[in-house]
Parts: sequence; C-alpha cells; structure tokens
Amino acid sequence: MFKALRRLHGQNLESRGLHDITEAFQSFVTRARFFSIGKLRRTWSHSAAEFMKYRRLLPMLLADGEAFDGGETDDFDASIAFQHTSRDDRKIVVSNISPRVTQSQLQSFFSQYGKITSCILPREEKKTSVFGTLPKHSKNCGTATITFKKAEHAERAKNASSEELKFYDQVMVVSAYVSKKRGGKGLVLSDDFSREETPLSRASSTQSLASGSAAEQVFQLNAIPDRVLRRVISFLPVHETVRVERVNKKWMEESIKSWELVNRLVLARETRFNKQRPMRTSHLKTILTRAGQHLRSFDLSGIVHLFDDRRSLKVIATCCPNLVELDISGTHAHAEALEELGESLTKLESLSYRGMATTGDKAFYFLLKNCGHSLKFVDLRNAKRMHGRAFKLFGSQLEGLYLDGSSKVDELAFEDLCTSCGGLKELRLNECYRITDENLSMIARRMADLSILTLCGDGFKYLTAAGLIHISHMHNITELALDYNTLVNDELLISISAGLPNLSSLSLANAGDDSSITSVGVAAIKNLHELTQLDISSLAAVNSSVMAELAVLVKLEIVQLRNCTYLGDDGVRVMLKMPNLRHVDLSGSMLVSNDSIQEFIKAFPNGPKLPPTTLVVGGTAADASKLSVRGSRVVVDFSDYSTIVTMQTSQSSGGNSSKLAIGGSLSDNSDGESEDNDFEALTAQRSFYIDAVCGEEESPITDDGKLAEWAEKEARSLGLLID
Amino acid sequence: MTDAKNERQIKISSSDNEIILVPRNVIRLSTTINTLLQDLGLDDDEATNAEPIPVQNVAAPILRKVISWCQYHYQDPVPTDDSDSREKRTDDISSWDTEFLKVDQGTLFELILAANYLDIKGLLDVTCKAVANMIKGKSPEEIRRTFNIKNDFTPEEEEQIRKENAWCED
Repeated sequence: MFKALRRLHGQNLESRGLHDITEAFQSFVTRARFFSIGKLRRTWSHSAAEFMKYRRLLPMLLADGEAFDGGETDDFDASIAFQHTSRDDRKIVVSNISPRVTQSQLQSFFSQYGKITSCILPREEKKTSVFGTLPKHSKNCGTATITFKKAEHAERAKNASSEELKFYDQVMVVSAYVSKKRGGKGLVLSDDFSREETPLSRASSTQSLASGSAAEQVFQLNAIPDRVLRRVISFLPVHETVRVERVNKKWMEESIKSWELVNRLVLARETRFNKQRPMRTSHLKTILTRAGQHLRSFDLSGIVHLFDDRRSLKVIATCCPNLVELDISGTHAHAEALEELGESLTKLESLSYRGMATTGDKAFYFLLKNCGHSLKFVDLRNAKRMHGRAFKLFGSQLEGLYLDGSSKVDELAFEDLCTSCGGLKELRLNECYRITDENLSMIARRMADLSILTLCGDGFKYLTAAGLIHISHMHNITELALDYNTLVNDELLISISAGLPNLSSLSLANAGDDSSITSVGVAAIKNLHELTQLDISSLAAVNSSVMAELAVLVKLEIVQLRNCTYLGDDGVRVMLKMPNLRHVDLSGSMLVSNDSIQEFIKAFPNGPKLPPTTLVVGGTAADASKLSVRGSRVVVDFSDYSTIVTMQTSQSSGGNSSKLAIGGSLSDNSDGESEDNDFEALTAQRSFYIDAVCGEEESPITDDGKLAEWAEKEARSLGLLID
Repeated sequence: MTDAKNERQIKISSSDNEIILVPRNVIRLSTTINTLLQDLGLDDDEATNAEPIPVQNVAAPILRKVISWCQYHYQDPVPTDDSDSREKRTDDISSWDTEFLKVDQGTLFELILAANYLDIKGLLDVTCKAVANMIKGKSPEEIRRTFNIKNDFTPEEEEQIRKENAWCED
C-alpha cells in the first residue's frame, strides 16, 4: 500500500505539483486517512512509521484548507515518548534567560556540560506588541528546555554554580524537567524562600540604561497605589485575576477587590475556556463567588462547558443577586433549577435563552414563572419545542420579545401575549409559523406601542394575505421586515403605505412572488416619507420607472437592491438625488452598468465631515478598471452579496419546509407530535452513534497483504493506477 | 470651543515649579483639577490671572506628557453610563495611545501615578491596560520575579490557595 501511495504522490508531484491535486487522488487520500491504524501501531514496524510520516503530509496535500484532525498522530508521538521515559532525566529546564540570547547561543553555552540533542527556546509570539510600551520585536520567553545526550550531562548542568551560569549579565536557573504526562507541571519551580531572598541577578539598572534597552528596567509594580493595582488586575482575563491571588497578600486583597470594578462579564470573550478545557461548574463557582455580588450583566452564551446543570444554575442564583441582564443560552437545565434561578434573580430585566432547540415547554415555563412579570427584554430565539404556555407570565413591562425560529409557539400563546404584554415595543416573529390571522389582528389592537415587527419566512400557513393587512393598523410601527414572506402583495403594500406614516425601515427582500407584487405596489412605498432604510431586493417589480416614483424618499440612507434584474441605469440615476445615502447595494442587478455607477460616484463628492457612502456593485455590469472614484466619498465594493443571500434562503427555507412536512403529516395534536418528533430525533441519534461506533470496528483490515490489495484495488478503480 | 471661557488658559505648576499653560477644556479631563477649579470659584473670567494651581506630585516632563494626552483626547465622547460597566479588555488600546505609551517603564510608572493623582480616568485606564498586558500570561512566580515582589504567604498557605484555584494554573 505504501508503495502505491508513494508512487501516487510522486506522480502527482511530477504532473501537477502540490496545489493541483485531482479529485480522484483526494478522495483516495481521504479514504486512506480513515483507515484504522491501531494494528500498525502495535507492530511498530518500519512501514508504520512510514505511514505516519505520510499521514503527516496529508494536511499539506489536502491543500484545500480542509481541517485535518491530527489527534491520532499526536497520540502516536506520545507513544514514542512513552518508550523513552528516561528522556526526562536527560532534559533540563533553563529559566531567567536574557532576552538577547538566541537558541543557538544557548545551545553552544550549555554544550560545555555535554552533548546536546535538542534545545528549544520558544519565542514570544503575539500579534500585538507584548505590552504597549515596548517595540514589537519578538523576544524569547526566558525559559528553554534542553535535552542532553546522557543523563549525567544533564546532572552536571543542574549542579552548575550560579557563577558558571551567568550569560549576558543574567544568571540562568537550571531545574529538572518533569513531564506533563506524569501529572507534574512542565517546569518545577523551586520557589522557596531561599531564592526569594537572593533575587535573581538581573542586570543592574545602570547597566541596562547604558545598553539603552528599556526592557530590562524593572517596572516598580510594588510601588503603585493599591487602587491602581486593583484597576490593573481588573483588566486581566478572568482566570488570571484569580491566579494572581497567589502572588502575595496585598495582591490577593486587591485581586478580590478588583471584581468591584467588573459589572459586566462576557465569558465567551475568555479564551481560557475552549474545547480542550471546557468550563466546569467549579470554575463558574470560583468566578461568581468573587464577582457575583458586583455583576449586573452576565453572559454565559457561546462557551464550551461541562456544567452540571442543577448546580451551575444554583451558583448563579446564589452568587449574583444583583443581575439585571442574564444570558444563559446553551445551558441545558432541569426545570426545577430554572425555577430556582428565576426566583432568586429579583432585579432581572433582560433574559436570553437562545437556541435551546431541545428544551421543552415546561422548562421555559418554570424559568419565567417567578421572574417573567418584571422582565423587559426576553430573547427565546430558536426554541424549537416551545409552545409558549409561559407567555401569560410576562407582564406589561415587557418591551422586547425575540421569538425568531421558535416555530411551535402557537395561537394560544400569542393570545396570552396580547393580553398580558400591552407594552411591547419590539416583537420579532420570524418563522413563528403558527401565528394566525386572529393573532395578528389582536396584536394590532392590543399593542399600541409596537414599533418593531418582523414576520420573515415563507411558511406562515395559518396566515392569509388578508390577515397580514392588519399590520397596516399598527400605526406606531417604525420598523417592519417581511423578507421571504410569500403572502405580501400589492394590496398589503398599498395599505401599509397609507397606514404606517412613521415607518422608517422596511424590508421586503424576496417577499411575495412575481405576480403578487407589481410595480403598483412597490411604487406605493413612495408615501412612506420617513423611510431611511429600504430593502426591496429580488423583487421582479423593481424597475427604473418604479425607482423614479421612489425618488421622493429623500431621507433614505440604506437601500438594498440586490438581484433586481430589471433595474437599469435610469433606476440608479434616481438615487443621485437622495443626499443622505450611506449604503447602496446593487449586487446581482445585472443591467446596471458603468455609466450610472460613475454618475453615482460623482454625485457624492468628498466633503468635510461627510461620512463615506458605500456602493456594492458586485454582479453588475460594472467594470472596476473604468471607474474613477477620485474626489468622491463613495467607496465602491466589488463583492457580490446576492449569492450569499440566496444560499442562506435555500438552506433555511429547505430546513423549515422539511420540518413543516413532518409537522403537517402528523395530527395537529401538539403533544403527540412533539413526542413523535422526540422519538425520531432519538432514533436518528442512535443510528448515528451505531454507525459511528460500528464503522470504526469494521474498517480495520487486519492483514497487511489485504490492506495493500485494497489500496491497489481502490487506486485502480479510481483510474490512478495504469497497468 | 468658540466659547471664550473654554479657551481660557489655566496655569499649572509642576512639582519642580515649572508653570505650564493649559486650555480650560483640556484640563477638564482631570477630575482633580476640574473640581478644584469649580470649588474654588476659579472658573470666572477674572480669575485668569490667578495663582497657578500647584500639582505637587507630578514633575514637568510627565505633566507635559499627561497634557499632550489630554489634548488628543479632550474631544472624545464622554462615556454615558459609569464606564466601569464596560467589559474588561486590554486589546482595545487605540493606535495613538499605543504610540503614546511607547515610553520606558519608569515614565509609564510616573504616568500612572500622575493619572491617578489628577484623576484622569481615560489615561488611568489605558496605562493600567498597558501594565495588565505586562502581567498577562505570567505565573505568580514569574510576576514576583519580574517585579521584585515579596511573597508573604507561608508555603502552606500558598499551597492551599494553589489547590483551591488549581484550574487557573497552567
């Protein structure tokens, strides 16, 4: 097999080079990657090592940016290391190295104690300068690991006197290496008092000044006022703030006090917690016992965690009594724990629990049971299983409610919402497909203050075009989005234009269909004199004469005209008379040519204090080389966003329609349906597991001969090997 | 800015008795001097020729540097709510400030003290961020060593703290 692989590799290099790999070869290589190599590893044969080498080449070969999982290779390295546990004895750790020392200098310095097999001196590599005060050259970390050929050489180096170890005016410290794999830290710090008393001899300050390097001058950190130290510590990442408590008593005090300065904590910003080191309940507890009292806003969303649901929420409930904003998206929890949380957070005004696709209605009910009435803002997007029984718990204080993608929220829930939340100002109902005409009518009557409404999506099966007209009775609406809503028609546009005088933002991208929205409907938009944002992308009715009608909308700032295939140059010229334009997106509008774009650019001359205007022209007939933007504040963007939009729609609408198909085929009895869905999800998950587990069991080919046979057969069938 | 009162120059004398003139609306950033001027009723026009305000703790070179910072930043929008509620970030130092902070460590130290004494919040924040960036990524041992800080925990105490917060250690 390896012969075959190598031959293929060579062939490929000869014919096309690394960057142009035929698809057949790629798929062959991909198959090779998924081979179980367990057996090979055990045989410890030459060919196994060859294979590993090849595997390491794979990411390079697959130059298409495909992420390569190096997990197995690392494992393999670890097993090599295991063979040589005695290596640790031959290794030393050198610290307090002068920043000026290079790796080769260090190697030659330590070769006085014996032959060195490896010397690693990592450099600090940070994208920003290490700290604001220093130039950006990368200096070494001050700590190196050196491996000697023989253990006694390492021993000799460890026993070297401090006078011997002086290098560039700085005495290096040699200590034994303890492998991380054996549970110790990579470096043993003999941080006892004896060494504290004889501080490491850095170059004296006069010397360093003479050499002109500011880096060696010690910052008098211990002399700054406590108040300032506290502020400094408050700027550290969360785990480092906790870690510096160990420096000394003053630091501990200031570190704990520094949490007073932290009112807002967004854990997703902490790079500390990632897939390799997920956050645990104990971490949360450590942080919140210190910070909780002072926190007013806490965001737990988007981190990788391994929370024990009940305890973690209890920690939040007990430690953070003053929270006003809370985002616990992604924390699955039991209903009781959620109830307790809701009960203890009396000051809560804003709550986010997004993307909880598998959380049932009951959990939401208990979460909101005690805090629902005082909330001002609630974000429950993509709660796929929520029916909305909890909505009657909301109070009149509620001003914003996001329900995008919560497709199971039903008629009854919207009725509850109308009864209890008269004060709603912002309601986002994209893809809440169970809303009915009556609901919409009730919203129009009950929510007098509603100013933002979104009803995007193409699957509103209980709504009719006639029902949608109710929107035109919501007189205070300023922002309306009806993207992809198939029910939009001329009649609706005309009545909206007449009924919503305050509308400042209207989005109709991909709404209706080519026959339901005609130029009459789009032209009616001209009555909305307050409009600042308008999105009429992908509407077939948009053409130059319609645009001429819209010329009266002089307040427009953002205009999206993606994929308006009937829009011509004259339509673009209309916009020359809109003085406030900041962003115009013409991507995909094929008939727009250089003439009108050049005129557009000229119409917005540079001027003091005038913000730039962006013009997106990707996918139009514009020719970059013939446009001149001199003296204009127009920034021309040649990317085409229209394709991105269509891709998203096909995905989202596809997903939704399939979901709906399942829902529709089952009875309308909601409980039965949800259970069936659960069952389906479970079985699907199970079969996935089975596939994954068995797939691994099956693939190993135990016999080397068979392996080679298979490889050759595969290669032949792919046409890579010619007899 | 056209306001004559804001155009007014304020005299400040440094610790080494050098007198520096600074526009009223620039020095407004220093809460200490601002309150002083308001409390002493020195905000009137006739007070222009008043005695210079002594700033005993700050030497002239540092004071000039502080004022140059204020001059660049005095038109910045005033943070509306209590700016402590911002998130803790150290990577948002503006490019101008980065240039400004390319000073030796002694100067940085003096700048922090001056910002603290004059109570110039923006300057204090940005200098503290610079120092935080110096501490960042260092273990407690390295911090002690780098900044010559004495460990006053007993080994047992330290071990206990280390155990409690074991997850923070690398």
